[in-house]
Amino acid sequence: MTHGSRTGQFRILEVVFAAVILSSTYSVAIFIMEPANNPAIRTSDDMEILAFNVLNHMVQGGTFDRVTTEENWEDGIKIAITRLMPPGTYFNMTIFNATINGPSAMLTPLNTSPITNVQAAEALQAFQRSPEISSSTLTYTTKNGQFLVLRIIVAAAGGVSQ
Amino acid sequence: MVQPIYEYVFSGLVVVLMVSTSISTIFPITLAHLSQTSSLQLQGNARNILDKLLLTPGDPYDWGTDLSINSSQSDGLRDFGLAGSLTFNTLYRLDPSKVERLINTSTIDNPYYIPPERAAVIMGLEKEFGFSLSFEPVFQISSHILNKTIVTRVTTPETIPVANVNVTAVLIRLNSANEEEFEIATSSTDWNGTAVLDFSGADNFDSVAYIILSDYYNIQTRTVGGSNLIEAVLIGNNIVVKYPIGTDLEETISNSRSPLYTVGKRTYIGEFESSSASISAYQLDTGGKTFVIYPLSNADPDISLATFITDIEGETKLIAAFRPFPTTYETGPIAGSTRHTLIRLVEVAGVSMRVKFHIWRLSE
Repeated sequence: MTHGSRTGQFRILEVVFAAVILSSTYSVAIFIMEPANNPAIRTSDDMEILAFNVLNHMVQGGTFDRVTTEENWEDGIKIAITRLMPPGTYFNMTIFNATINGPSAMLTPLNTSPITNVQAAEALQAFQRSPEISSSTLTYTTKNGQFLVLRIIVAAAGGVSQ
Repeated sequence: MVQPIYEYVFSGLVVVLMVSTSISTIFPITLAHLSQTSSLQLQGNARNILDKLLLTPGDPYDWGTDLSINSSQSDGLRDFGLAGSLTFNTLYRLDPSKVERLINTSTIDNPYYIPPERAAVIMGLEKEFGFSLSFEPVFQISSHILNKTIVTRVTTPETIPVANVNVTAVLIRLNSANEEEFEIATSSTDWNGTAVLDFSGADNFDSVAYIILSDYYNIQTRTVGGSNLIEAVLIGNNIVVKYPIGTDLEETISNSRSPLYTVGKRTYIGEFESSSASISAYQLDTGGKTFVIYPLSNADPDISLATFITDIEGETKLIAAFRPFPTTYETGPIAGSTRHTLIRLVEVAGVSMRVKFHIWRLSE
């Protein structure tokens, strides 16, 4: 084996080595540059606006003035929210009565039955599985002076909707 | 001498392989990122545009009631927004007089229609984006007259019946003395979403106009109907009648009397605007069509039905103007692979509606 042919073999080895380094770099880059799950992020923002929109719409209509003044008001509010939400949206709402006690406020849940469109047995799974989950909270003073804190959690059914 | 050539050829092949692999790998990733960036930008644009449409009043702020702005003359409209001009503290409550400028269908001729292409130009979207705005009441009501009753059915847009909805009908009719009378009946829907509103006390049921209001936990909607009447539309506080309504227009106008209008469940006796002891109704020619405009004075902006009577060729006729519901307002069919959809709840003249906004890029 001459000196020249050995140099040539080294040159080929250098090129192959460089190719291996470059391919590994690309493989890592592809992994790093894998697109983030942005649709889920952006629809979560939309869900938050929608949750606020629904609460605000009901507050402006005076829906929560009926709380505690009617029998089975939880069912009525549940059906109202179901109609206002777009199809394929899960929700779970809690209405708290706020009692101001010095510098703090004590929140006591008012609804004795759940205000949700998901069966109790499936609730945890439905909300955990959805990548689009958001919440909104609103405070409201009823016409008879009751101070309410309205909290709603919303989630898209069946994953990301585009 | 031969071996270095093989070395160079082999090195060259490796370089070509590397370059082609790089390009084929990088190109789709870059495209995916560009497409995602474009989609994210569109999302931001969609929110901004929808907020502008639903939360700002436009310029002039009362352009809905400014009749100098119409389908053929909209230069005075400098900014486009549908929010009420006096409802700064009420989010998502739209101005009915602005919303009805978006309506022009085969059944409703609207001389004050603002075409979506014009709205797109005002908002600076015409070269880059197409949009579609569709309105859908949260509850839908169908109704028909059966003898001296009005049978109504309340359903969701997916046609699921809604029970326990309070339903009120305000009926305006011509009585046997050919004068306007109004009556109110209330009921609530059964399991099938049906309610029957009884007007059996009415002496004459030939010529009637009615409005039905439904209320479920303050989520409200309405519908209108009637029989044996001349239908018109209510634009702002103006009754817009398509001409001809009678052979002699001046006589028809001078014989017009007794305007009545309803706001929610209440009925009011109104007035026509008058100039020197005569009604200031006027003729408007636009888009190859002729209309007669009856302005109402001091009327509530939330009127949903306005009626009056007039004598046409010796016969007393009931003219009923309904405030039309918007449906779809779009620059063209929804297109493009990059598009975004947003849903909001709004209130238009007391009616809860779901607004679906689609936006897409035109340059695709």
